[in-house]
Amino acid sequence: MVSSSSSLAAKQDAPKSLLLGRVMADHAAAAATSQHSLETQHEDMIHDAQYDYYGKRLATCSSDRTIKIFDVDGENHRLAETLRGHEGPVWQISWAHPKFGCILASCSYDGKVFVWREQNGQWARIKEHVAHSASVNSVAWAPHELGPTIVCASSDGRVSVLSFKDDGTWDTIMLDAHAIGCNAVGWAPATVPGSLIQQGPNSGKYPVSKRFSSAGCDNLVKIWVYREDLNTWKEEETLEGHTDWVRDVAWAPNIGVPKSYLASCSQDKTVLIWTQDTPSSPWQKKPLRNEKFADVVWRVSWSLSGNILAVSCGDNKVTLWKEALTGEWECVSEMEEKAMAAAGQH
Amino acid sequence: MRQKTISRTSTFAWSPGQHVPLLATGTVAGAFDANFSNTSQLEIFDLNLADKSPEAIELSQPSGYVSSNARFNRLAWASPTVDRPYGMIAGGMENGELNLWDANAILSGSDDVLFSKQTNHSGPVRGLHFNPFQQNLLSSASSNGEIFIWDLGNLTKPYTPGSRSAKLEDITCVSWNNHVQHILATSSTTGYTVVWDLKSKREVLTLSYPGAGVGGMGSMGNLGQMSASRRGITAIAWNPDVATQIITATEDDNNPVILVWDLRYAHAPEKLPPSSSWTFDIAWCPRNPDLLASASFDGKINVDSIQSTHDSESATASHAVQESHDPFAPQQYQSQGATATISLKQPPKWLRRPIGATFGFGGKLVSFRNRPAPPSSLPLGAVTPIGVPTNISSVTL
Repeated sequence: MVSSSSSLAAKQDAPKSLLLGRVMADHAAAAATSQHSLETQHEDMIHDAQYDYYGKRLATCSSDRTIKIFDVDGENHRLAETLRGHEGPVWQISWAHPKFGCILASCSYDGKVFVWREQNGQWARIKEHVAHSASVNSVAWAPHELGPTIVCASSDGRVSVLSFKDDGTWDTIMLDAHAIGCNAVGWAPATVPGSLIQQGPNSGKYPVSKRFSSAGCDNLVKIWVYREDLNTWKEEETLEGHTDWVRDVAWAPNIGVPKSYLASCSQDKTVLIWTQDTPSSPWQKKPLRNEKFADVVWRVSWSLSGNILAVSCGDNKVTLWKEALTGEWECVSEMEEKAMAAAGQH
Repeated sequence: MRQKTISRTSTFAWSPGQHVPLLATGTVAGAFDANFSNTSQLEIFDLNLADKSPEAIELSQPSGYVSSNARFNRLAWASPTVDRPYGMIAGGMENGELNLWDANAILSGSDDVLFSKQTNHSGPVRGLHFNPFQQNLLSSASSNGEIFIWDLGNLTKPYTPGSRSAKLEDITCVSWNNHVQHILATSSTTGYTVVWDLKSKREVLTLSYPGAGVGGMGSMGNLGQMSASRRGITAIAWNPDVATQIITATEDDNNPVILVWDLRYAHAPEKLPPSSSWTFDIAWCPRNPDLLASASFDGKINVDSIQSTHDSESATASHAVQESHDPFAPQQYQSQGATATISLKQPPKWLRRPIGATFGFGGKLVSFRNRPAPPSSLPLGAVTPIGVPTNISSVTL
């Protein structure tokens, strides 16, 4: 994995740890080396902000029904475009892999999912997905190895998977996922864990994992796998543990070891880390911390190197966690608004 | 979007626990079914929401039931406690009894279901509500302005919220405030709604519903000038978000309007657009705020999801569906089609993600926060404030 941050590369143990895959050494405190704020000019609450694949663009979406695209250059942001069209708050956006072009998907309370593309500096809507009958709460592009595919989670209890085919048409599969609503979906990494270190006669051809997880209002996390023989997605696992709505679910990027990590966060103010030692082992759960968080936990996000988890909590705090050698999770950084203002710039 | 239908002429209550929602129904007093039977049952239904097939819309079999000697005016369901994993169901009966059942006992089919029977009221018990902060406190109300507050831990000595109010006769509804635990509202067939403060043990405010044709007049005083055709209040509901807002509905078929009052301003109350006729009971599912149940006199209890954005094809359009209003949205619209649905223009608060942080390429973490909006000091009907302060920051680790 490419060392993506100059600050990490500066630390002594980073290059070593990246070759091994997972940082199990004593945690290097993930201190912010530079931080800056951005005034988006949205007129209402913001519900998502996502960098594109290269970190050159930032998309934000809001209750004001718009999506704003910013060009990012170091600390400078310039508003490039405001996308309009949704008839309700826009809950989430997701950038596609650049090999498909400059493409963004958005989902909204109006029950629709839009796919937008920029060509020659112009943004246009290339697809409208209106199959859901209630708010679509989450949308996510699949790993690029699976082709141009998005999964959407809706309050109507269903999950839909859309695939763009070579002939220019879209395939849609609707799945009944969670009885009273689905809040989030997250894709599994495309490469089967452990496959990178199993060099054998078939090396060069890695098995592809086609899985995603869904977070439901029935307090469950479900894992779905694509069944080639049935041409559709089936529930592979149901993970019970939360006592209230599961708000978000995120699968850690695969870094080469056979173990899989899945994080889920909930209205019940907890974050659970689910691990699977090998792709055929059962999933085991572990709370991120022993006490509950101060408020609802809204989002979990893994770093691209797969070893840091960012947890966003309703008490307005974002905290970063890392797994220690003992197997317990430790908070390595807490980003409060005040603290961020004080952190300063280097 | 219609999720389920139960064919009972009953009043009902949602289960407050954290399990998948259940619905309790009690044969309602004052109405007869097609067989003119006079049996009365308390039933608990599992909604089976995972099954979305059209055949599964009609729920016919309860998960548990118990027979009762009298019919129900009102049901209320208290949260589970250590001893009672499914909570306690209270029934306000037409014969003046107040009965308490253990919900778990009903579901498990055991014989020992009736927890208590109280006969303090002199007339049919129409008002019944558990205090949202202290679920062991139950308020019940009946004719002659009788209001009792019960402590489930000691049912022998109920107390009253103050001396009897002259403006209340037969009380139709009681409702505890969702924010201030000692505030109680009671509504009556006289057309008045009286708000009580239990700490000072007295009534603090009166809302009077003007008769048809009279413009909305606010709270205190104007008794003599009201037209004589004041109709009774059938339902009241406090706004779960705004402590000073309460909705009242009346039984006036000519003017089935629902009024939205803000107690701070003593303005003319805001009116919600009238429906074709009136429902006699509506309730939010407390655990899953997306679901709304409504009962009406066409013999149906309907469970609706407030989140539908458009109608699915409705084959069951033959009967006129009684519409129930969402009392908490000042604006609403009805979608086309015989099966009208409820949709909120403003999404509910529980959908709005206020904070998030996502990693990106280059060790960047972008996070956003929405600072809490200033307390609502705007008059009713004002547009959502624009320029809500937000904060997006990007950190490189």
